[in-house]
Amino acid sequence: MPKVQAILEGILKKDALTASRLLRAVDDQDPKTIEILEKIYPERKPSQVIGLTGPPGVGKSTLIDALVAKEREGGACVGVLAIDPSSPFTGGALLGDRIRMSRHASDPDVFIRSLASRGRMGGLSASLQDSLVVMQAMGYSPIFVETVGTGQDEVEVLRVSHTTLVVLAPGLGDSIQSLKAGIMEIADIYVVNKADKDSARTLQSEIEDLIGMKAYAPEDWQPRVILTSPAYDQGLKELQEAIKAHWTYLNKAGRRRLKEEQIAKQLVIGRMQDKILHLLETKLNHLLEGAWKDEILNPYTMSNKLFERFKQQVVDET
Amino acid sequence: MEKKVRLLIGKVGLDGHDRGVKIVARALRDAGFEVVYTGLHQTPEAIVNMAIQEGVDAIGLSILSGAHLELFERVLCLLKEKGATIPVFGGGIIPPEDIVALKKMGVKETFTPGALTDQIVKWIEDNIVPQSL
Ligand code: B12
Ligand SMILES: Nc1nc2c(ncn2[C@@H]2O[C@H](COP(=O)(O)OP(=O)(O)O)[C@@H](O)[C@H]2O)c(=O)[nH]1
Ligand SMILES: [Mg+2]
Repeated sequence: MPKVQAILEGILKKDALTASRLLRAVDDQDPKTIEILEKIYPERKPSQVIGLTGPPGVGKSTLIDALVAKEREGGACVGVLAIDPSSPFTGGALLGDRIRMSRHASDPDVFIRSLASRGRMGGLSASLQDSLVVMQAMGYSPIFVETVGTGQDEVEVLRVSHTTLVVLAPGLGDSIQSLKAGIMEIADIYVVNKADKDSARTLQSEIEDLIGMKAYAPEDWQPRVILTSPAYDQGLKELQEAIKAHWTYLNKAGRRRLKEEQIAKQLVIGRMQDKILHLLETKLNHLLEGAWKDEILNPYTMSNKLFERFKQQVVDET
Repeated sequence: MEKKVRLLIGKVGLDGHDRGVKIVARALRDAGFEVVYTGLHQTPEAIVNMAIQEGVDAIGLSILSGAHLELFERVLCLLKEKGATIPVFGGGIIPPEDIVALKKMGVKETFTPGALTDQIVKWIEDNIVPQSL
């Protein structure tokens, strides 16, 4: 397929039209993309992937907008992947994160792509990791990832990012205690946004207490808590520095390799999961087909029996 | 996975009327499309750049300011310049004689006040195909 070569070249030349079309096919999980992704993967530049998660409305998109501006001052070419939820009923989605990033809209060195979650749980989209590979091959660095932002169970972002930011803000009605435990444990950097509001400092010390309860080895990364307010250009420099400090930390002593091994494993698991689930479903339907002929059998007995047979047929033989 | 129609819906120029476009954007989401909404006051350059980056199947512009002829023309021209073949449609306050001019220019369809969102959805279903590699 000569087209594959053309796409590969387009990506390496950072051609927006080619990238856009490939990202679209990746999002649609077009099987033709596998061959292309396989070729693109070794071409990735070492770019820091920065994941932002946190409840809706805390200011994730606004923060990304501000951080992109800071990166642009330094001349970096920046990527953004922002995920919004798909409706479970209609499959439709309103992708509005980039409204907050308008000022970068005509900057060719900022590539912003909105993704719909398309039924995937955990705050990301099924296509996210593949999309990251494409952006890394194009040389965008750093790349920001904004999760759907339910504030709950969105720990997936940790598995695809080098650096994970949990963004919180005062005035969301309740204290951090009410947040699901998971999300408070994944951050490399905690951001208390909307620092212009009164109770920001209270929230900051609440988080500091929470992470202070954990013991960190001296050689380990100690999570930081940073107050920001993009509208007032407050804390952004400090946040940018903290993000860079985490990158330096990862690059020292081979931690980045370890992290990237985890990220690559996650990519394998993600790809396998979909394939295996599909295989399972087909196989299971097949196994069930003959079994229900005359009467409805006890589903508990049935599932036990089927699992044994299934194990023999699919798992044990390999 | 089934393909989804992706659309860029936005406002160009100094036009603050966003009631209609928000209603349209929501209706399109509810019809099962993926809708990237740009917000107010975008330049034609920004619209085209966003449409390319977002890999959309069509661009829908809302213009109630009276500047539709210039703005649509600029967007179509920039798309051509960049080699992007993304169909453009839109709506707003557009006199009948200008609708003729816009269509001649290459705007695929226009919807004016009173247009039902069901009509808009139907038109997209009939005329916009999701792109592929
Ligand atoms: C409400 C309104 C306002 C509100 C806007 C609030 C808001 N956030 O939207 C306010 C009071 C702020 C306002 C201000 C002004 N307005 Co005003 N406003 C109106 C009014 C009365 C209704 C518009 C509306 O919301 N309609 C309801 C929605 C649902 O309809 P719609 O927007 O037309 O959308 C439908 C279709 O057009 C189409 N559609 C629209 N967009 C899109 C996009 C796509 C992709 C698709 C497929 C379809 C589509 O589908 C929708 C559903 O049917 C109109 C008069 C009128 N009857 O239209 C004047 C009108 C638009 N305004 C007008 C003017 C002049 C102004 C001002 C300049 C007045 C002034 N001198 O200050 C300012 C400018 C503000 C600005 N910054 O741009 C003029 C425009 C004249 C022109 N274009 O030649 C109008 C036509 C009044 C008139 N007869 O003179 N306005
Ligand atoms: N007061 C205040 N408002 C902010 C700040 N940052 C963002 N916002 C506002 O918070 C709202 C939600 O922001 P958004 O970035 O969309 O949040 P997201 O849902 O987490 O992406 C918007 O109205 C922003 O303007 C801030 O530092 N201070
Ligand atoms: Mg957001």
